Amino acid sequence: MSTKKTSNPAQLHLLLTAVARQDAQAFRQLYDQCSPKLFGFVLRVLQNRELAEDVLQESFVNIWNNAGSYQTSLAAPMTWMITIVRNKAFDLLRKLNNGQVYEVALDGELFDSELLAAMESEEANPMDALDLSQNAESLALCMSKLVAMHRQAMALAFYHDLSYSEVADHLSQPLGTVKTWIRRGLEQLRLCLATRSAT
Amino acid sequence: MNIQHNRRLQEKLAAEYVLGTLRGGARRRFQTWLQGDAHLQQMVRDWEQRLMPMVEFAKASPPRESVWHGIATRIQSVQAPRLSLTSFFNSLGFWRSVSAMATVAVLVLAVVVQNRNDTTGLANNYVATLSDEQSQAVAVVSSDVKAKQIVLRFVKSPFQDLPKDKSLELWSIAKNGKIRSLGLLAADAKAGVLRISLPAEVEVDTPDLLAISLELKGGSGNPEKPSGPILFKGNWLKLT
Repeated sequence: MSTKKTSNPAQLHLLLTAVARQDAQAFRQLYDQCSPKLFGFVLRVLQNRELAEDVLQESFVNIWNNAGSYQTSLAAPMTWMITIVRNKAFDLLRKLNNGQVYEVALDGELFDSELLAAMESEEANPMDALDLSQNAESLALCMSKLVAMHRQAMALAFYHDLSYSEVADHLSQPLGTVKTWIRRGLEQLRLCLATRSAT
Repeated sequence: MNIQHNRRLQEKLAAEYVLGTLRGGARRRFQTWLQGDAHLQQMVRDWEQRLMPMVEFAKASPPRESVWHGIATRIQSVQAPRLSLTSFFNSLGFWRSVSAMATVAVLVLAVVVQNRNDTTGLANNYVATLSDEQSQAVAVVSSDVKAKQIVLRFVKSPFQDLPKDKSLELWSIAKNGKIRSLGLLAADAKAGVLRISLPAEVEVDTPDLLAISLELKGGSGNPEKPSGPILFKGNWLKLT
């Protein structure tokens, strides 16, 4: 594994702990290290730069205000920040959708190509690497072992905040089938990740 | 439906909650359960740890510099003083330096308590005074060996100023450093006395220190570590 990872959890942990003490310099460093990745995700969810920028801004203000409640024992630093960003992005998405004005393109296939890139990044030239955290590398590996349709159904739900019936509509499958796929996928992921963390 | 004793169902619901496919009434019910169930909270955290890295598969994209300026402006205008959360291990260091004065106070209070309430004799009994950082006593704790319980008597109610979305959790720290939750303190302990049954793996003589931490409603979620700051603590002393 490359040692030059910017997403080094120990370093992010130190930065977040410093941010909890209202260290503005550490906050800037944290932002520089994490914002491209978090912004890439929000952009993927909202598919609109201005909206994504608003969400990123809200999220980092939230990170600044709540860094005190962060503890490494309870969540990896990246997971902690992602949870905040994803909630903010989905809150906005729901608000927009309630007005029925906002539609995003759903792309299960894009996810598969990203997953492929994520898996290859482990061995790739450091210049091209996606710079994944170790948790993300494990997840990519375990997701690649799932049946493709199970994986796509999960990715649609995760990236686009879709319900079971919305995923079923999109994939033109019966609701019961999609529920089974996703539940089976989640269980297999849990088992696969447990094996990887045990070794 | 009782999900408390159904681990498989809990696991399934926690996964769907984090993925986002748990919706409507089922989601709201789950959130209600989550509030009061530290183990369920831990399950949710575990699923977040598993699934959230999916975010990283999306291609990174640097935001424009104007986003940072927006953030910097926002946080500079927020100058309200905040409670700084002391890290758990910092407070461990603090406990070791509990002053001799405080220890004397513990013994004096303890003897008063024991004389008043104990009919089983003092041998093998333990006491502690839990104090805040200014050495202000908040509670006197004593053991009830027979019932395998400990009894907290509050000198002043710690619930008075407690925000509605917070809980207080009691911790045992053993001599070997092992930390174990002894449970949440019921906010309705208005009478000023609270009995807590010890978990199976904690004996009356296990703790070296007792501590109360400030937690989000429902507790730390990890029975082996507080997630919030330690508000009160005291040595657990054996009476001879």
